[in-house]
This record gives sequence, C-alpha cells and structure tokens, in this order.
Amino acid sequence: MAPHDDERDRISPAAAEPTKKPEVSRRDFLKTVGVAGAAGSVAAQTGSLTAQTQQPPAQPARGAAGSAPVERPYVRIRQEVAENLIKRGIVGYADHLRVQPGETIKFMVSSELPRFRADIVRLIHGDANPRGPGIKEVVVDSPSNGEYPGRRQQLPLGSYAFVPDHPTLRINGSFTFTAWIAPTSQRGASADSFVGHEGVLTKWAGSRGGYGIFIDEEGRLALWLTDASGRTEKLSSSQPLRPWVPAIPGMNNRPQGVATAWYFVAVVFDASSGRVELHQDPLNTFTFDPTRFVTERTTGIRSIATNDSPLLMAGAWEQADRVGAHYNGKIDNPRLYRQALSRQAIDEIKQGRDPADAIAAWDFSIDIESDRITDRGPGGLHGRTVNLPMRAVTGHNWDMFEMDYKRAREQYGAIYFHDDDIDDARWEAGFEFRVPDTLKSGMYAARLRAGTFEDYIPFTVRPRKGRPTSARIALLIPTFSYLAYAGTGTSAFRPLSLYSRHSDGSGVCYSSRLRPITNMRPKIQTNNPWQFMADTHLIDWLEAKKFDVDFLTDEDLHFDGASAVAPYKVVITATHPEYYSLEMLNGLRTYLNGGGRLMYMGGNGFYWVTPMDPTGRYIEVRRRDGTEHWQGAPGEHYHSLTGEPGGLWRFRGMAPQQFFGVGFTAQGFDRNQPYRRAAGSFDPRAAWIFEGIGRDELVGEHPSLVLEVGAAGSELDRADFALGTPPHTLVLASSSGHSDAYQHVVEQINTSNGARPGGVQNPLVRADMVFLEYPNGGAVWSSSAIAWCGSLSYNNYDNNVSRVTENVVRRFASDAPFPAPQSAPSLQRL
Amino acid sequence: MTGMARDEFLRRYATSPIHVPRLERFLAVYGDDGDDEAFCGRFIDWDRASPDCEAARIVAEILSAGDSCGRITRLSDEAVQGAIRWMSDMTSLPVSQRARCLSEGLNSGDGEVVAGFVEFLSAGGALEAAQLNARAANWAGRLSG
Repeated sequence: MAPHDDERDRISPAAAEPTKKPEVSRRDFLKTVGVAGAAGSVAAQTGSLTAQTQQPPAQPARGAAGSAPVERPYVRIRQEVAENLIKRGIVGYADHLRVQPGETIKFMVSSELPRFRADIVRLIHGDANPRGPGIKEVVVDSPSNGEYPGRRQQLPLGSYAFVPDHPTLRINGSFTFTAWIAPTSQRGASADSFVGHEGVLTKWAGSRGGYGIFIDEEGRLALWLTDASGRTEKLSSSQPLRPWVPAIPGMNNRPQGVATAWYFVAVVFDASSGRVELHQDPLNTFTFDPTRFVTERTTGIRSIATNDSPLLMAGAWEQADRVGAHYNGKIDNPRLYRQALSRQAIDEIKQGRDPADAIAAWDFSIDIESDRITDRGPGGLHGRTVNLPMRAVTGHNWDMFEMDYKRAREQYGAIYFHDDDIDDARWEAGFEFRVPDTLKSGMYAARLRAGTFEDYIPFTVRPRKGRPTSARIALLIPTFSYLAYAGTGTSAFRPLSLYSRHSDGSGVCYSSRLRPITNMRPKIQTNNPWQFMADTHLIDWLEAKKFDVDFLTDEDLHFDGASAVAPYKVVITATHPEYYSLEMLNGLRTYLNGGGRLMYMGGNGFYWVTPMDPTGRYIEVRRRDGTEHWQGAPGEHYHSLTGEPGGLWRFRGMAPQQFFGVGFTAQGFDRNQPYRRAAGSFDPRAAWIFEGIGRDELVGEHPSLVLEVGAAGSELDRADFALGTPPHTLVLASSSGHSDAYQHVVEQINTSNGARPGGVQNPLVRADMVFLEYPNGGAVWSSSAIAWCGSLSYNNYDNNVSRVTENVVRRFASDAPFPAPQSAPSLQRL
Repeated sequence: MTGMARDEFLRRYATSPIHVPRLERFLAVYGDDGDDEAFCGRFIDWDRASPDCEAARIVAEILSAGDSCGRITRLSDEAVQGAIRWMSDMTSLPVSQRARCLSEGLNSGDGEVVAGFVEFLSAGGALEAAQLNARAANWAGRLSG
C-alpha cells in the first residue's frame, strides 16, 4: 500500500530501501577484507597466551585426530563476532535509550569502512513490508549530521573479577591457593565441544607470565609458573574435574539447574623444593569418586617472576588491555597464602577452620547487590567484577533449605562467571547529538551508512521534565522489554538476550543497553515484526491520525513512578510490554487510581518481575515457572539487584488481570484470528468503543503486517475473574478458532494430559478485548493481542481495528469522566 | 553436550520466542532420520559462509512458515543453499522483494512453477554472480507478475 501523498512528502528521499547495490558486492567486500583473515587474526590474538609459553599444549584435542586444530568456544565466539561485524559493515549503540531536550547523547560505532555517514532521523514506520506504509523517516536538521572516521571495534565478551596490583600479591616464592569451584565448561567427546584453558586465579602479565591457577584444555586443575628468565612451566593434575551440567540437553529441553559439582581445590607451590601439589576434593560423600585426587609434581622453577598486572579471577591477561582465558563456572571463597601449606592445614581450610595468615580471603557473600568483591584478609585487597557475572548464586555450602540469599548470605558466597557475559562494550564514541530544545518528543535514531551498509541506533526523545506539555497522550516505549529481547534472532553477533543461554547452557539473566542491540532496529525482514519494529506500526498510526503524543520510556516510569505519567489523560502501551519492575507496576496503579486511563495495546504484558540497576544500565530477570526458554537453578530465584523474588508477577500475587483486566493465556505462530463482538460491547458503558462497527462485524479480519492476516494473534491475553479480573470488567470482544499452533500457557496447566492442548479444542486459547473503569474517572482498555497494531494501517488506516482504537484514544484523551458502573455484569464462567 | 548445533540454530534464527516452535517443526521435517543436529550444523555453516548476515535467518523463516496450510516440504540441501544465495546475492531487488519472491516461488499453487524454481535454486549455488542475477531477475519477474 502506498503512503498518503502528504506522508510521502514527509519521507526522506533517502529513506527508501536501496534497490541497487554498489559495484563491489558484499561477497567481494568480504573477500577484500577477508573473513578468514579477520578470524584468523582474532584466533591468533586469542592464542597469544599459549604462544607465549614454551611448551606445546599437553595433548591434542580429543576427537580432533587427523583434522585441523579445533577452536575453543570462546575463540569461536570471538570469530563469529568478528565475522558479523564484517558482514554488518556498520553497527553501533548509544549511551542512553532516552534523552530529553538540552541533553547530549553519544553514539558508539564500529565501521568496516574508514568513513561513515550519520544522520539523525525521526522514525515513524520501520517495517518495509510492501503491504504496509513502508519505511517512513524524517531527517532532522542537525550539526551532528555528517561524515565521521570509522574503525572496527571489538566486543570484550567474558566476565571476570579483578583486584588492583599490590605488593602483597607479587608473590615470588612459596604460596598456596585454595577455593571452592564448580566449573561448567562442557568438554565433550566431539571436536565442537573442545574448550581451552580457563583462568581461575591469575597474576599473569601476558608475555611476561607470572603465576596462575587454571583449568587446562583437558579440564584438569593446573598451575602455571614463570621464572625471571621467562621460562614457563604448566603443571596439571592427573585427573580432570567433573563439570557441572547446568542445563538438561535434548529435544524440547527445559533447562533446570541440577546439583552443582563443587570441588574444593588447593594448589601448593614450595619454592624451596620445587614441590607442587594439586588437590581436588569433590563435594560428595562418595569415597570412590575417582576425581578425588591429589597430584604431586616437581618444577625446576624456584622463583616466580613478578609483575604489576592486576590479579584476575575467571580470566587471565592476554595483553595489557585485554583479558582472555575466560572461566565458565562458579568460584567461592578463594584464598591466597604466602607459604606452602601442609595437607593438614589445607584440610582445615576445607572444613572452614581458617588458618589466620591468608594474604587474601575473598568473601563474595558481601556486597552481592554490587560489582564489589571484598577481601576479609589483612590487606583489604578488594576488587570489582567486570561484565556482570551472576551474583546471588548458591555457594558450595548451600543447604538446600534457604531460597532467599538475604537470609543466608554465607551460603551465597559464590560468583558465577561466563565467557560470553557482557555489560558495557566500552567502544569509543563516534559522534554525539545535542537534542535541541525545540525537538518534538518522539522516536529517533542515528542512521549510519558506510558504503552499502546501513544501521540504525534508536533512542527516545522524551519531553523535558517539569516543563508543561500540550500533549494529552503519552506513549510508553517498552525499553525494559527491548533489553530483555536484545539481540534475539541475531545472536550470532552475540548480544545475548534474556532468552539466550550462555555457552555452558545456563540462562542469561542480565541485559545491558551498552552494547549493540541488533534487533532494536527498523527494516528487519520478517513476517512477524517483534517489539521495536512492531511498535513502529503504532507510532505510525498515531502520526497518521495526527495525535499530539509525548514519548516516555520504561525508565521514566521506573525511576519517576506515577509522576512520569501524571500529566497525561491517557497512557498508551506498546505491543508487548512484558518486563515490568515493581516501581513501574505501582506507578501505573497509582496513575489509574488517580483517574488516569491506560490503553494496553498488546499481549503478554506485565509478566516478568524485572528490576533495573540503580544507574539504569541493565535489567535482571530470574526465570521460574513461566512460559520461558530456561529456568533458573534451585535457590537462585531471588534477584541480585534488589533481593526480591523473581518469576511471574502472577506468582507474587500481582497478576496483570487484577489491574488491566487481562493476562497472558496463549501464544502461537501461524495465523491470527479476528475478534467477534461480545455482550459487553453493547453495554452503554462501552458501546461508544464500537461506534461505526456493525453488530455482527468481525473486528480485524483483514491483512496484517504481523503474521499476514487477523488482529488477534501472536501472544494473547484473556480475562480471568479467578485470577483477579475486576468483577465489573466488560469483555467487549473475543477471538476464537485459533489453531493448535496456539497453545495454552504452561503456568495455567497443573497437569499435562494432552486433553485440551491448543486452540482447536481449548476455549481458553483466545484474546479478550476488555474495558473497565477505575475510581476518579480512570479506565483501562486492553486489546489483548500483540498482533493488534499490525492491523492498524490496512486500507490507508481505514479499517475497524483503527476505528476501535481511535474511538478509545479520543474518548480516553477527553476530559469527560467515566462514571462508576452502577452494576457489575453477571460474572461469566470462563 | 548433545544438541549444540540445534541450540545454536534456534538461538540464531528465532527472531521471537514464538518462532521457536515454528523452527522446531521445520527441524522435524529437515532432520535426517530424526537427527536434526547434522542439518543444523550444515545450515549454520552455510550462514557463516554467506556474505549477508541476514540471508540465512530470512530463509529459515520462510521455509519454516510453510505453504498456505502450514505444510513444510523438505528441499534438498542444494536448494536450501540456493535459497540463501538468492537472499544474499540477488542484489538487483530490495530485500523485502527477494523474500516475497522466494516465498511465492516455493509456495505457488502451480506445481510446475515450484518445481522449476526449486530446480533453479538447486543449481544456483554453482552460478557466477552475473549469471545468477540474470536468471534470478527472470524468476522475480515471473513470480511478481
């Protein structure tokens, strides 16, 4: 469908999707740049740690006989990231997702070409589907628009802890290291599962070496030592450690945390004799466990070369500015002693009776809610974590009784590190944009172009705080949900989302905005636009209808609560506001009770408990007992940021049905269905919503930009009086006839018996459009389907989905109050 | 750990969680003798070899959507590779049109058209870029016409 003529005038000529590629194709470009070359370069860089040593790897990788050397996953991940940077050509992120007039936003850019062009654009419609209005964007006249130098920037994946250098840590003679560890890298029989060495605790200065406790390529505890001449020796245990399997593999797997394989480990170096002991003692009572082992070795090294590099846990310095050898797994209670301890002393440490003379004894149960690590030792050698390793995780001494870490912190003294964690990509800024005072609130983006490559970095411009606004409508951009889905479907690039699992199989629970979010973009080719791109269907409709709208984000609601939305007669959600903090829920409740009105334009909203860190950098989700892609481990369902229990709001007693009339009931993926009017739509309290709609007219039985046709689809919500839908709620219309591709959500099924699994037989697989009044003139209207907004633009915005929506917006934005209903409808048996 | 390639496949190509069951249904058809691991590994290799970081994802979405009844037909590996090349290398058309033609070519109601198009895709991997584009343009004209 072609846009209106007046819209066409507003569209930037450059916004049209390029139909011609330049003379140099991407394939040629890749040949020129050399994917293999780049990857090889990356591999060479990451292999530098091994190359610096004077001994070859202990053994070739298992399963790799006769073939080229296999890569460890971390190198493979880096290689894929490098390949994707090349393929994408240009990609970036901003230092904020929202900004207000007068503020400056910075853009971090990685470009394969030496120069790129940036333009600030206002985004209106980001879906190129030819059945819809197409791409609509308006270039903003700004001094920031122009050409900039470009260069490739890397993603520094992998979490670790560091402690600044200190003379006490520059050990040159005897020492003992002890810790509880639960390694999780899966070293299977296949070549693809080969894992390289992983640093547990290292004081290692790249080519200058030092000392380090590692897990070697074979999964064995190892000690690396370098002497003053630069000679390095690697001494490994005779027995590999048994890795923990944090996820249950297999078809249709539902990962569950299973018993952690903890080991007490100790590494002793006696400089006077060159004696090395490697102790590994599994935390089980099976005396016949073959991995319970003490290995004795002798080294020729008598004096260790010292260095001024920070001490690391869960990694090792490859170069002065780069950490590698990332460790997957938990570390609990690591300690260093400046002497070779006896076996009796080591056993006492294992039993929790502390020899008092540790150089450092880090206690990760302190400051769980932060990135700080605390040393209880005499030197106070405190440190910090980098790239968001997981905290509030069970330690070796968890008794399986207490689930809340705040009530038993001493049992939560572990940190869980992953080789693909990331918090802040720390790219250099490419350019910045100062938001003019006169810029209207809206969805904007930095549009980046380099040769044929193109990328967008979206950001929301909210109205300036405290300044009066003419808008009666606020659109709430669901940035929490954008973060939760960050990178879904584009994960070869490795911006892991909260739907991803780490390379060891455990679920990802933190998501940061300070990295490229490659699916928070317009112009993604799909028949099921999701989150950001789907939300532009609504932005475009509001623009086409010429509503005066202010744009706010989840952060505004989270940090400012009800005051963020108080100036507005109506707040409109986007298509899938799934991730909500307590502050956000309370903000909307306060707003509604004060007479505010809410249009819930989607499905599966207000679902997961989702706190945000105080700086607004990242969110956290602890999944359990919902419709989900992974489930957290036992004892790890409390959020490290706030200490509150995670999971569904429903299981916190705050089901969305209580506030918005509906909650998640089903999801599917084939065809959407229309809504059929229900008795509530004829009630005088709500009949105005259907003005212009025929009595028997199906709503949304026309082409959609989401899953081809129909307005009720994708994820569906339903009224449920048993779950708290207020009794006066009117069910206005419902969908029906969904296929078995639509399944009832698992949290509403107590016993799986297959009797009524999907839409063909199950009447609970449907969307209920509802309306309900709040005190003081407030009200809620819920469309109850993610696909709803995909139907708005059909037939030049002249269709019954558009009409219903417009009826509600105009009435909700008016001053006319909604009187309290005189009588509640008879409760329907649902 | 078993299922690594399958996990990777779902992670790469599910643009939203509801795409997962669709892709699982796709893998049930494309898994050889119930073992979809090998196919997933090959598909990811084709993706990595492609110069376009989106081409394989789009092909996975189109193939997993099936025809108008949701039926998924198993194409040969060569045809799947050709489809990826169609999406990445057919630079004379915008991406959205490439996707539309691919979907129509595979799901046309005319069996001869489908057979011819699949044959073209199967042979596409061996064609030079100019040859591919010329022949693809013919197909695009037929399908969009």
